Amino acid sequence: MSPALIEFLVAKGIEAALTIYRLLEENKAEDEELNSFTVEELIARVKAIDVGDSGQEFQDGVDSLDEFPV
Amino acid sequence: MKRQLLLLPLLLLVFGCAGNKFYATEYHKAYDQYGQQIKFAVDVKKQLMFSLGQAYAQGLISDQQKETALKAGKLADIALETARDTLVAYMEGKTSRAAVLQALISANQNIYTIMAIVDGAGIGQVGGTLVGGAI
Repeated sequence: MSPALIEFLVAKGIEAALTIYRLLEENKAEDEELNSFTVEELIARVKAIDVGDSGQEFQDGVDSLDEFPV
Repeated sequence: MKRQLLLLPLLLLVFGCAGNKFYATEYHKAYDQYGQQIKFAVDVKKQLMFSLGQAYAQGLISDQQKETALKAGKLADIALETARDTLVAYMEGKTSRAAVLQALISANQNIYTIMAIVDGAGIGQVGGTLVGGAI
């Protein structure tokens, strides 16, 4: 194995390790944010999920082509 | 050196897995997993219905296919509402986790029905742009 290849692999290894560390830190921050909510707050968030209206979504698709005729 | 380099993928597996998340309670986990699944399913359904509307406007689907799509869309709306309400009930301790899973599967089945209509009409999507085929 040439020294240049070893140097390249070490550099890539360090880069990968830093990426893993960054992703772990991001995950930790997301976990902490999620866990900071009470169950009641989470329930309110679930209740607030808007499932939409499929008929309206279909019509929006129809109307979108009026704005940009094909 | 080689051994150290080989350890990197192993470290990635051990420390990088999504399964290593910490949840304060099982309800936090339910919100993170099932709540996100519901939101994702809603987005998929919205995009499919929007695409079918575009397809109809371009004459790629017939009036009969449009009616079928609207009925399937309505059923998907109801199934998604049911999944959402079941998740709320679970988080309030009124039902089981299995009931949430069942509701989610039902919602996904309804979305697959819409997908089948898109597929049957010979319509596909490439990078969010509608591409039409033969009916």
